[in-house]
Amino acid sequence: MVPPPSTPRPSPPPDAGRRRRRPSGEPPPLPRDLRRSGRYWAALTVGVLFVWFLVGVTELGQVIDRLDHAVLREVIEWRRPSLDRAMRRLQVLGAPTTILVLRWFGILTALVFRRFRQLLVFLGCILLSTAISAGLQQFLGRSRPLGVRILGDWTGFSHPSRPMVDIAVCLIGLIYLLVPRGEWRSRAKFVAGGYIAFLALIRLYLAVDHPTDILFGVILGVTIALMGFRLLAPTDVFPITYRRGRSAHLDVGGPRGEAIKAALSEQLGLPAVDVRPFGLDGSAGSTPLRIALADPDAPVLFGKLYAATHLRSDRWYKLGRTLLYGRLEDESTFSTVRRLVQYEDYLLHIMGEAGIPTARPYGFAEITPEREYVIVTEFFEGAEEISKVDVDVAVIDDALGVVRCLWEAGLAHRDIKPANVLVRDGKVLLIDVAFGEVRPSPWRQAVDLANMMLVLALQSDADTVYERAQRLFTPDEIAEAFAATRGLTLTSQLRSQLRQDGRDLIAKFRALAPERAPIKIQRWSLRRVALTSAVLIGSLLAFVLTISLFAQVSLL
Amino acid sequence: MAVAIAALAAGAGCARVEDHAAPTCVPKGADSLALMAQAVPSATKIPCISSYPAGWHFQSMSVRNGEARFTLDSDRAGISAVKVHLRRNCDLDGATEIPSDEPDTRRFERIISVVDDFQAVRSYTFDGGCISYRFDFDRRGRALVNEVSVAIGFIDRSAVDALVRDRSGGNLHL
Repeated sequence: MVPPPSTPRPSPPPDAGRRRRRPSGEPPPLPRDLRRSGRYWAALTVGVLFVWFLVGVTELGQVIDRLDHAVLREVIEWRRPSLDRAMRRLQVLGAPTTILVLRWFGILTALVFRRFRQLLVFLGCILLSTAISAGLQQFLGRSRPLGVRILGDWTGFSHPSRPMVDIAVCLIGLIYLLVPRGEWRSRAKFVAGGYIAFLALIRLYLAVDHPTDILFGVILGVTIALMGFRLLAPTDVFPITYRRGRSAHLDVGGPRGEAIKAALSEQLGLPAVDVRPFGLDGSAGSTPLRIALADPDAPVLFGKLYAATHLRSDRWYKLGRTLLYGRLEDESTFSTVRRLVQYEDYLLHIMGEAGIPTARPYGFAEITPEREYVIVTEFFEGAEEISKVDVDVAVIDDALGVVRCLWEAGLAHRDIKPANVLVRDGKVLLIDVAFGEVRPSPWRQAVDLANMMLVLALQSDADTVYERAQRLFTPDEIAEAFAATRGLTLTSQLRSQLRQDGRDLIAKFRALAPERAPIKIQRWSLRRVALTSAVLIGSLLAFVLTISLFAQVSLL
Repeated sequence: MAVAIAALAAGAGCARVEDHAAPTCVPKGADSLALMAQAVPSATKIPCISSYPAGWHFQSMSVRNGEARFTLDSDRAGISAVKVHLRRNCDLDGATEIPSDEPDTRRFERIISVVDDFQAVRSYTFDGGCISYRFDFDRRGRALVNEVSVAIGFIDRSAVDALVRDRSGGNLHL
């Protein structure tokens, strides 16, 4: 009694563009890029390392000492009593208190704007720069400038200059934490450069550092912060924005937009002319896209952009559900973004072949290897969410037929809710199969049926839905579905609409179906106990480690 | 990333790098001695590590303008058993002067506690500066006070200056 697919499969869009294989050595559409300034600072750091090596094995140290001394003598010539007082006061620009304030400003701002990725990178940069500069100072053991009167305050050995390293890391970090890419970021860098240069001048005047201490300190600090943010929190992937919206959504303009178009054309043969965000409110786990092709007669396509940030969100979401619900959440996490996208593509194909009326897949394209992929499917033009249309008996039959079809194919959708059930021309369409499962537990399949019946009953009544359901399901199967259903098994949207509706539809269905004891969900298992303990111990260790690290890098 | 941060934290307090900076009285410690001399420009004597009696080792050094300090650990007297400070002046309240074992200095002793642990401050004053030892010994290490006298010595500022001149080919001096 398997109903045929309710929606004829649409024809693929015309393959107007030719696919092209990316030859070995050619960068991907959106490569990880340090950008020109990043490469410039990295080269400077290599130069610094080379100088340190030469100092260790040759007499270059004496030459540098002489040069530093000559420069310092020139600067000291400018000393005047009034200027001395001003410079002593201005030394506060690089004082430990100033650095502490800047660091906490960055940390708190990142927390307020929920930029956790950038926050971790910022803290990592502080730790790394502190460890490197402290280690180098002890190892190189360079004294403060000799033969001149030191006017300012100082601490420890002089090379590289710790205040300059710390200030450079703070300022560059704050720029990448706070300032959106573009003109404002360029201006901020200019201001930061001015601040660093002015502080350098002050420290030279006061003779607390040698010129090379300052130079190497700035190079070290800027490079660590720049590399950290550009490699671990690139603006392309983690944009700084003050617009309202979910943080999971990526900016698809600029270089990423062009990269998506190039990838679609080269890898899928789909010459896109316009890629724009679509329906962002209904999606938290990816960035949904509306893709227009070059051929005006070709249908519009739907895309979902997945990035490393979505993968991490998925992991945290699943961990949270496992901790909350125990064995109820029987899914495992994905190890890479590629695996996540591959799985959704696979499910789309499997469901399509099983006759489930879901979007036809056109494959997925690689934007940045192991970081960003876009999956492309048919766009359901004109389809509306089931909660916004009139639901008649034909729609009820069609929707229940879809669940029967899932059961027969050994599949579960696992996220049946009004937002994922669309209706077009009286036919039901199922979307968002990313949470689906092949060979699910019978309990999962039962929950799918119950959720679909509740979705339908919200737009009609329980008696009609139950009566129509008996055409495809036995009373025992319906009883099993509602024996498996409780608050936890409902999606938040379905739960909310049931609450608004006011009718106790679950109780009504249970009353209509044969009596059956509730199916026990083992909410505590060994795995859940172990995971909960691990999370608690991990959190405690993280807290202790954080306090210890903060103390080490003078954040406390 | 969290693992990398933890590894960094572990590396931040690397003891071998600290050992490299130990202010030994032999030329190896010249960099640290010069820095300590810069901290108190008026001091005519600089404290340094003459030798390590069995069970003693260098723990850390901290120098800033106006003050220099290094610390020694002992496997019997405990962690940070002795803290050696160089300052322009010392607090000698409650201290008793006794004959000094270092030339051109005056020595003062102040016992703080002998009940459980041994806590005391020994101070040497001289032209332009003061060196103090802060003892904080476990009970079982109380008898090791004399070993500190062997471990720590003084070097004249002029000797440090000579080391700096020698190392810089005569270009630099304190």
